Amino acid sequence: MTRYLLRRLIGIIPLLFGITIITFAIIHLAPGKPTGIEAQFNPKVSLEARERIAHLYGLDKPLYTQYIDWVKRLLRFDFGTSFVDSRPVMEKIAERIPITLGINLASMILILLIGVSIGVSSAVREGSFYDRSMTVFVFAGFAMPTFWLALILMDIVGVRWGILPVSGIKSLEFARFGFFEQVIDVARHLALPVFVSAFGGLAGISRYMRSNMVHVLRQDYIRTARAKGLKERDVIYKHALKNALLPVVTILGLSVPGLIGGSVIFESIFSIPGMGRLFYNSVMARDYPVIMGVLVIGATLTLLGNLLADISYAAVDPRIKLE
Amino acid sequence: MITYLKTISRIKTVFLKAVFLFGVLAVMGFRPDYGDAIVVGAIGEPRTLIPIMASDSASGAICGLIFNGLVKYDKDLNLVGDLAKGWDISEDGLEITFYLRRGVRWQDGQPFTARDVEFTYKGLVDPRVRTAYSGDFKMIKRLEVIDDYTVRVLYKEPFSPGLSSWTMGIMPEHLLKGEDLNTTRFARHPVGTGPYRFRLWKTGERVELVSNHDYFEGRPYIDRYIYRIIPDQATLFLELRAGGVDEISLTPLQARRQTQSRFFKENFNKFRYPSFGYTYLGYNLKDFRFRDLRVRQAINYAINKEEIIRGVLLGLGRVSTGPFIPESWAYNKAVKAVKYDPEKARVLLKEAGWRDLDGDGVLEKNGRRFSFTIITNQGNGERRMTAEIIQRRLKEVGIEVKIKIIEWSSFVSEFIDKRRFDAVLLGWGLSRDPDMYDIWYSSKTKEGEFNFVGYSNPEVDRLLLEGRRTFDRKERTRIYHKIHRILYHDQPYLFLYVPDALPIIRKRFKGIKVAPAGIGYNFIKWYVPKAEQKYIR
Repeated sequence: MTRYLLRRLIGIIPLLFGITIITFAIIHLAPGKPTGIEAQFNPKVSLEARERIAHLYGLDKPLYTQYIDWVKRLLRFDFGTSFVDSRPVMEKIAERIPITLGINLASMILILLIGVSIGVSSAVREGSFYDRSMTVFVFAGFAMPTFWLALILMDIVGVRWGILPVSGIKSLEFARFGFFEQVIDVARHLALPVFVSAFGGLAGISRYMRSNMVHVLRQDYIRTARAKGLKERDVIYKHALKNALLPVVTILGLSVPGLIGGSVIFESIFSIPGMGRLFYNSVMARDYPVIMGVLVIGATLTLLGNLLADISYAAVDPRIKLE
Repeated sequence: MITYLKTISRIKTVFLKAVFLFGVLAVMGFRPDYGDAIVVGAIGEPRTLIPIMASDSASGAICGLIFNGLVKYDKDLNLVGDLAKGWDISEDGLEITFYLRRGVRWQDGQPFTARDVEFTYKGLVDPRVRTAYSGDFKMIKRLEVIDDYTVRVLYKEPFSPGLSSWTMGIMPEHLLKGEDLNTTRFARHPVGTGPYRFRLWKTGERVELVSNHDYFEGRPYIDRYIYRIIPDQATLFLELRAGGVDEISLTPLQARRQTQSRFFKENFNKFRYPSFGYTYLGYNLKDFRFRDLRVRQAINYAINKEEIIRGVLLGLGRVSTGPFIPESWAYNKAVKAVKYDPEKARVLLKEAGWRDLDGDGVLEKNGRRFSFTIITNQGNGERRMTAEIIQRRLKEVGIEVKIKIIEWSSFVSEFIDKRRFDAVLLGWGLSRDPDMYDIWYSSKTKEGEFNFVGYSNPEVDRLLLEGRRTFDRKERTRIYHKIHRILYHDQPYLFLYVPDALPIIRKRFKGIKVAPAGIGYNFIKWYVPKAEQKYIR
């Protein structure tokens, strides 16, 4: 097991290296230049001033030199500084990860709880009216554009009823609240975003769960369990559910990188300062160091997530051995 | 009957309130109340709060409250003293001597002196500093500190826009000496001399300022200024309704159609004034079709600008005839926009040799069809719609137009800078000083420079240089009025419109007066009566 782990971890390094070369090449080949300074298309900003800034950022060097410089810094865990505001890339990413991670974790837990329950209960009542209405419900959530649902809810709950804040993650007076009030304040702000993102994600897990469960319920060992007179509850929750949950573990492992990824539309609408907005704005401004930083972290997490999925699979399923 | 009674009772309350108010005023002598906070909602996040690096509008707006320049523009767009209480310009125009205010203190208590001015200048011309504003300051030969409160600036040649370049915020030497301006912590913890001092900046959420009680023009009435970043226009509007923000800029659609209800009339004041910018169609003057003046003038006749303003801005804008702020002294009001006249356009095109020989509705000359592409940037619905109206109107005179919309960064570096376009629909923001050397001078056509249409007129070149060397306002007015007239005749751009700025602000804020400079010029005099204050601590 340890040897397997080591082998996989070492294998990640060349893979990661390859990914950085490709992404570095692609973002530099894409048309457009860093606009940190010329975004406003301002005649007060002279050509000379812009060239000087490009030089200070090292953009006038050949591409391979720029890449080597970047790798050298990366080896010291230095992702460089942003072209837009000259702040360290790590700092810019670090201040946004907790928010995105928090929202994604909360909505993932919600999706798991509700999605698994819907999946199991639908499978048990396969083909019933309940099953079919749940199908419609989760697909409605899947099909509904997030921005539309978000705006409607903000208008009704936030503006008309005035019971939840419209956007943002904290109140203006947050710093003066007591701890308990602060927790409630954040919860009130996150209620709508978490609901909206969870509603969209229900379909995936619940459908997976349902089809696994339907499949498992037809197995011989379930018939055996029923035949020996176990209560239906025990049959479903002890024997069937455990087996049906196995593939969900894989999905969870694969969704690890998604935890730090945010959606720009979603974050813009709720004005949440998360990773999606950071990445989108960086791409639009051709802020190469930030783009590379986010991509490297994303790639690393994807590779680790895959590994994690494999390991946890082996851990929960005795039939699988990693060598 | 019921409405009648209601009206009576309303009149009664208003009357009582008025009497009460009058009484209070009479007893106390009118003085606005201190307190409350204003929450301004906007789409953009500031990049830095170092004035010499702030090249985006969000950073500029916030820096403007924290820092002062040596000079500033007053409500009628005249240059007046700010940190300088006055200045002298030498006969030959080569020296400007600024006399600084005494007794001004930085927000940390240190005195402001001429050395801070010198320090700011050095930062602006230091080749290692990533400032975008070095251009105007490169014209300076030497800056001399005469004493603590006198600075003499020597220019290489007379340079009148130099005076307005000193609206640049002055930075404190004692806090920044020896710091790397590119990476200093100061960018997110600024200390200035201005009416508001920095409190906090939560990335992607808000920037918060508190009033500077020792401000040299007096303590601002509003205690806190909160700049909230809400990157979505629809959310901004919902927040405005819900009370989460007090001030936003409306879109024409919101101003015309979505803010007419009683709720809005009772709770908000809307303002409207020409913005500092204009939208135009720029031709590639190297193109053989657009090189012909008659063709450009024909297009001017063929496009109904009023119609574009009605359709795209819902009437909230005005026709533009030249590249100056409509309310400024430089704008030549005698230049009148031509009347929409498609017949005249057809005649002019015919004179230029364009005829529809094959009867397909599109003109030809020397076997080439008159078909061209307008490019504009993605994400600007107003420009897209404007292009569509132009497309339709030009079709009527026999010109085929295609529209291509391109993402901003590629648009600038691949198409504008490299001059790969037939015609481009864009807008320019306008600075308070009318100097427009970089946009119209014939040599400013290198890749990345701003005369990308390739305009060249020796007389305009001469006038542009003259305008830069002249300080006398009367003389400059004459020069820029002339430039305005020539540009409108030459039509290197099809000047389209100046959109209106459309701020909307909660009614509790009083003392706001629209002037040619907009509404922000007297922000420190805005106030909220005690009884209406919302954020009380």
